[in-house]
Amino acid sequence: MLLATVALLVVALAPGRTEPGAAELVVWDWWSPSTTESYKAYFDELAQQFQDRHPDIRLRFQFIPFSNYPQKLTTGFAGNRPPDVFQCSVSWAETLFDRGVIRELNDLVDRTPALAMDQFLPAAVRHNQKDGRIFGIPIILDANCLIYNVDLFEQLGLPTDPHAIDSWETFLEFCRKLTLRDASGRILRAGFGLNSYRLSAIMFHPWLYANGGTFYDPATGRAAFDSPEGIEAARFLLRLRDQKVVPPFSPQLDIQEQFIAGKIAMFIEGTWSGKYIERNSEGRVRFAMTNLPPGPHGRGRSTVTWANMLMMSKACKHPEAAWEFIKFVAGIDGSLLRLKHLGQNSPRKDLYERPEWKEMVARKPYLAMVPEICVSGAKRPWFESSAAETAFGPYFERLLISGTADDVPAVMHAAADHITRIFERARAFFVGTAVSGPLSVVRCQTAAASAACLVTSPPCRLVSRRRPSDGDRT
Amino acid sequence: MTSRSLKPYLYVLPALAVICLFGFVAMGISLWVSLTKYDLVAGSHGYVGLANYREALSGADSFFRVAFLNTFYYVVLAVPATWIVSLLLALMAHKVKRAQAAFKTIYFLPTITPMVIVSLVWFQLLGVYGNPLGSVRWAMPAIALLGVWQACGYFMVIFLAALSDIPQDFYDAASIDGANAWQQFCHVTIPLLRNATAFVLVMLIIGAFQVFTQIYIMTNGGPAGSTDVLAAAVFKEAFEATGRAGYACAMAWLMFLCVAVFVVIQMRLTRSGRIYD
Repeated sequence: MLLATVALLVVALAPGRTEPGAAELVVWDWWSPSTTESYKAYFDELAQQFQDRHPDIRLRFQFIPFSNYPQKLTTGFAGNRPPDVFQCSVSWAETLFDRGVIRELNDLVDRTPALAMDQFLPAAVRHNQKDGRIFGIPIILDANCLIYNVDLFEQLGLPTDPHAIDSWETFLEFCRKLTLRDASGRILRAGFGLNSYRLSAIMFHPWLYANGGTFYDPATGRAAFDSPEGIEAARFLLRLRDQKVVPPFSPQLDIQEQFIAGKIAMFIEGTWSGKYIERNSEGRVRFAMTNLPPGPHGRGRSTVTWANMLMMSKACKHPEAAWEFIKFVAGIDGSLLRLKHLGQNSPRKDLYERPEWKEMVARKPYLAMVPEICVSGAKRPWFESSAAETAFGPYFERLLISGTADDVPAVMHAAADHITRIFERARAFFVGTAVSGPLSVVRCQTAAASAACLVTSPPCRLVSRRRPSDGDRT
Repeated sequence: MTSRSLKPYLYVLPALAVICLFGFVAMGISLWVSLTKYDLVAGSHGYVGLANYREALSGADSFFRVAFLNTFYYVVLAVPATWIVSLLLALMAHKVKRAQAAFKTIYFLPTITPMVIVSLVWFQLLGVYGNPLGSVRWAMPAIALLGVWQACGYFMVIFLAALSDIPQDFYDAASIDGANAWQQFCHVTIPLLRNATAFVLVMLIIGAFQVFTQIYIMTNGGPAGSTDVLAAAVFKEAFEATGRAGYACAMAWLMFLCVAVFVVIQMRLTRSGRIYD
């Protein structure tokens, strides 16, 4: 009985059988064939095409919802069972690399001209490398964007040109015209979709960057959203609230759903949202996308742009096979597959010259502005972003729920101080611990400097203590 | 020692091994981690003594203090309410002579429904009725209400079993002495339910201090941090911040101490004296 149980356990726990000589790659993604039928078609064709070219490599996809992805990655690395290759959000990429669990890809990129960094749009290759060390290959280029209902604009005689809203004041004017109320003043249709709950930090970033601000300043190591630009952006959102051109805030408010129902005329989401709006509205809603108009301190139309990437863990047993997979997915063939099935733009320059892109834009006009939006977007540093946004949320939520314009500076300063301490703590972790890999930072005392200073290695160089050694430099 | 006397120990050995491995060993590791600067991904660490505990109790950004107050508020709301409601339901069900099983099943259903589903349903439901989840003041009471609704069926069954164990003779004797229904309840039922009450309160306090799922689903700590609780704080620090697993473990141990203190106090207050075991 005992022997039978042990035998059963051995069989159950044994790794899956692999063909002799075949390399098995464990691939993690938060995109999933079960998300929509388009994703299923994408993954089916991706696997088929890759297997046809590489019959000696077996892919084992594991799909994990985005909300659980960072926890799953953490436990994967902690248990020494990480995926070989995985799609990584820009939110976690740099901190994973800093922790020394990601394989540097420079040697592989150097011998692969198709994935050389100059093959990608500049906006796509500013979050995947640090001090020249490449740790990810971008596969999607995303940006926050303003999405608007073209039919509603036409009904009200508003210009539908993506550049028509050229300032925040014009934006407010459009919001007023688009807002519809009943006799009692109840909002039947809001000009703009804004919510104080859960999404407040995400709502704030595009406005901050459109006004020339930044969330984090690598030069000082401080959270920098309490700058005059940031305070002005927060006050503008309060103005939208106070002028009642946004729907009543509610935890249950689903802005995209309300947009599809025609109860919201404009909202901010991402360049990836088009396929969902199209699918969920069954093509009934005619919409377009644009970047944000400049704020009073802004330097032209802008937004926030980032690229999510494929990364290879250091524990990957088959780096050559993993690189073949990355080459395929991040190459032009993978980009064309994502365009075909998901209507997804690409971080690659060459996609935009292909007839397939032009045909897709003709079929889906909302894609026309996507390249311009992505290119116009500012680089947002993502250092310790999860913890920072968790801390920022309650401050901004309180401001939007019950704050006044006069409260803004104090609240923003308090939030910035709090988040600066989070940044300092994260930097101190890398300073105080010997993290393996090329980013190890050690504290030293030099004869020349009486104060403790930080020295990065290699090369050994002095940097001010306030200067972040692991800041967001490209 | 004879093989006969060893036999019982062999029977309990597998269960003991599992409990030790996944309970005590895991607790020991977390205690050690709480004394270090630890990152779940990098795995690097350094011994920091009680620094994580000091930071939790007196740090400038101590999430622990806010989360503790919110959790304590939840405990104060949910524990007495669940105890009272489940006792009332048990008393009513005890009086019902027909279809008692049907009532028990109906009240027990929320307990066996997964909390994630219950939370999603209540999230939408509360949106229709005044939307307390959007209010800093009312979000926690609304979540406590869900907690009461979900838990009272389980505790009703426990009270019901205890009520069935009270001999009818006691009520008959009280009745002969002229006690009315309220007096019988106060002087017969409540004292004879002390064993069950002690168990129910211990379980309720432990459960309430560990409240997490409904908050994660319904408010994620909002609005404005008004429903941030200890379990969520531990989760966020461990998984969202770099090198904070040690701090998260320290918070978890402080949470354990809080629960232990409350349970000990409660046990002393409701010490039954083994009235009719």
